[in-house]
Amino acid sequence: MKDLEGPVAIILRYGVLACALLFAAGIAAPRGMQEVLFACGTGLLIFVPAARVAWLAVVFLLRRELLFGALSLVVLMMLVCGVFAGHGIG
Amino acid sequence: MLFELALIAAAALAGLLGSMIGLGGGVFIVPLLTLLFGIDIRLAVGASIVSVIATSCGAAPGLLRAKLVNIRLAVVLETATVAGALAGVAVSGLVGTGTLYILFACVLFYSAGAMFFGKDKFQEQLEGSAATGRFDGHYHDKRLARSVGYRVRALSLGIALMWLAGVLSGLLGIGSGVLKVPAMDRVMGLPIRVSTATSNFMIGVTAAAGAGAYFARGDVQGPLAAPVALGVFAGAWAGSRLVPSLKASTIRIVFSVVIAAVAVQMFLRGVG
Repeated sequence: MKDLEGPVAIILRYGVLACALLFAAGIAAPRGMQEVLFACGTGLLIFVPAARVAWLAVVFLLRRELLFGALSLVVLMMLVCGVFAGHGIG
Repeated sequence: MLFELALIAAAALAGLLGSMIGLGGGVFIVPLLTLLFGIDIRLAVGASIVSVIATSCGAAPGLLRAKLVNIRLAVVLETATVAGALAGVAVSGLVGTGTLYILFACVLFYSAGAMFFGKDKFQEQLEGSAATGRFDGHYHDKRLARSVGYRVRALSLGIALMWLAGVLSGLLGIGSGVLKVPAMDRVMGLPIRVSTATSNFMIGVTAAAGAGAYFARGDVQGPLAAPVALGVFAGAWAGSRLVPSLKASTIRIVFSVVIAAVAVQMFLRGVG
């Protein structure tokens, strides 16, 4: 818990690595499978920053740094709202 | 397959340049896809905004390890950038294609000029622990071989500028590092390396807000977004390893020249 940077770096590194593997597999896969892998990869890629925001929110709240914890939660809620708002736009 | 490989190679170059100068690469991806590959700007924006997340996530671990990111400041500024990104996505459907090109070019011209004509002012550098404010920080400068402290100023103005950066991110599919870096460097008084690193860290979340909405409304095309994201990820990974050893003046010059050249191309496309 003392080190903020380390766990965040791990979330980002392995999250984006998983996406890269899904994309690479998608490029090599046949048509039908390709769509599924691309969609999974894209969805995961959007989820990765949200995961690191959620992680920071938990850490800040546990450290009683309430301002930063609350702001992280606000960001997280806006990210979720963005996905739902997308259905209603355009 | 050849098309995908060309996309990956071009995106890798964009990711490399983007992460070296604190941008998401979107500022290069959209012009690349539209000018070089002839892809519609709206589809390019959808692919770009996804790739911006890859750039940020690819570059951030290296920058975090180098202790160049001010995480607390990033959390505060992200509330503004994410709110702005959602506003940008909301108005994106109302703006015409030509306007998008010209708006894009204006953003590029502004950022190139701000960086090129700005002086390499020496920041308020304090020895390590002297920086005591809530958002103040310090980092180890390899070239100076010592810890450099800095103070954050004009936070309210910085937040306002970040909201504007978020709007452009949602509207144009960029990470808006073009605004974030000058805002942190020039207005908030952060050293350029901390500005580029913190910008890189933030753009993933800013872009995720826009990408979520674009994805939900079906504007993200997998066969386009996936190779671009893959290439950008590789380029960003390489670029993040070059940042700590680069001279601040080198970052400024690369930033200005490349961006100005792209701006001319985008403006011509917009008026043509």
